[in-house]
Amino acid sequence: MPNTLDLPYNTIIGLTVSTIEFPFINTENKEKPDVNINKDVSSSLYYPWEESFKENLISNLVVESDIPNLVTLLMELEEDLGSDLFRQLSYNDKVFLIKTSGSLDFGRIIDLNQVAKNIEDYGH
Amino acid sequence: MVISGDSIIYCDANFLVAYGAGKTKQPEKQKNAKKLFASLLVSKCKIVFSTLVFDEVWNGIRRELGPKTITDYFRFYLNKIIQPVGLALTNYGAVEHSFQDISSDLNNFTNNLLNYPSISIIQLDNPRAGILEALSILNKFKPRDAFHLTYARKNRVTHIVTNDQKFNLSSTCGIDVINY
Repeated sequence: MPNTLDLPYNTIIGLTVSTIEFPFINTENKEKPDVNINKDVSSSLYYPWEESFKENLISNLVVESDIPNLVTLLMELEEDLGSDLFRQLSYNDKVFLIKTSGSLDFGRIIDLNQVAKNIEDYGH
Repeated sequence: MVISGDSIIYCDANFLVAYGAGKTKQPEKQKNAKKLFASLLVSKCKIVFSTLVFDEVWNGIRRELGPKTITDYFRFYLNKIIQPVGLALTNYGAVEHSFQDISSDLNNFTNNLLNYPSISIIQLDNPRAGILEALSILNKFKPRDAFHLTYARKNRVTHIVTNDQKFNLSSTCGIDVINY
């Protein structure tokens, strides 16, 4: 990988966590560098589509993603939350909600009351 | 109740399970948890958990999954009969799910939370003072709840998200309770 990149003005570069962690840091070393991206750094990354396409959310937000069916999932999220709340969320928040809410699926229906009782019993 | 960017919100384990669970017997509660989480993200407040919360989430879910296999039907059903009166067999004739069985989902869920910028994990800056503070409120709370509250108070938490009625007492500590 070259140490410098010649890119035209106005090029938009999408950075993923893995891109940030590996290639631009210590390119001579093939091993994973001992570097962590802290939350302050990642939160300050600029995602141009958040600002540019605020009013036209779903179709334009899906630039690249490792989530299959992201468009469908975004639509389902909008249905669950309601349009008002959905539109106030950033792109990252939406993807985060898709990735985490309902992700603890063990193939059976969980009784939240029983979980609460388990936690109560476990804690005391 | 006003939640602003300055608010610090401590989420309890039951809320996190309701938010993260795939299918539940209480879909309304689940939906409310999802909406509340989204609202917290929109408000730009600081969402915090403690290690105690993750401990409770992992354990609470694993136990609710029930037995993986039944090894002794007599003991298993006998245990079911005596459970309603508060008794239980030590060996109840079943093997429960191990954490390894559910580690994949727990890993993904936990890592996604830990890596999200809006979420922080809090701890006690001064453990000695924290223990003494938890001790001082044992007259009102059980030990684990006392530690939850101590984590919250020491980290200037403004709200606790919980449906646990016990925490309504926490309003006396200057911490508001958000139900979902």
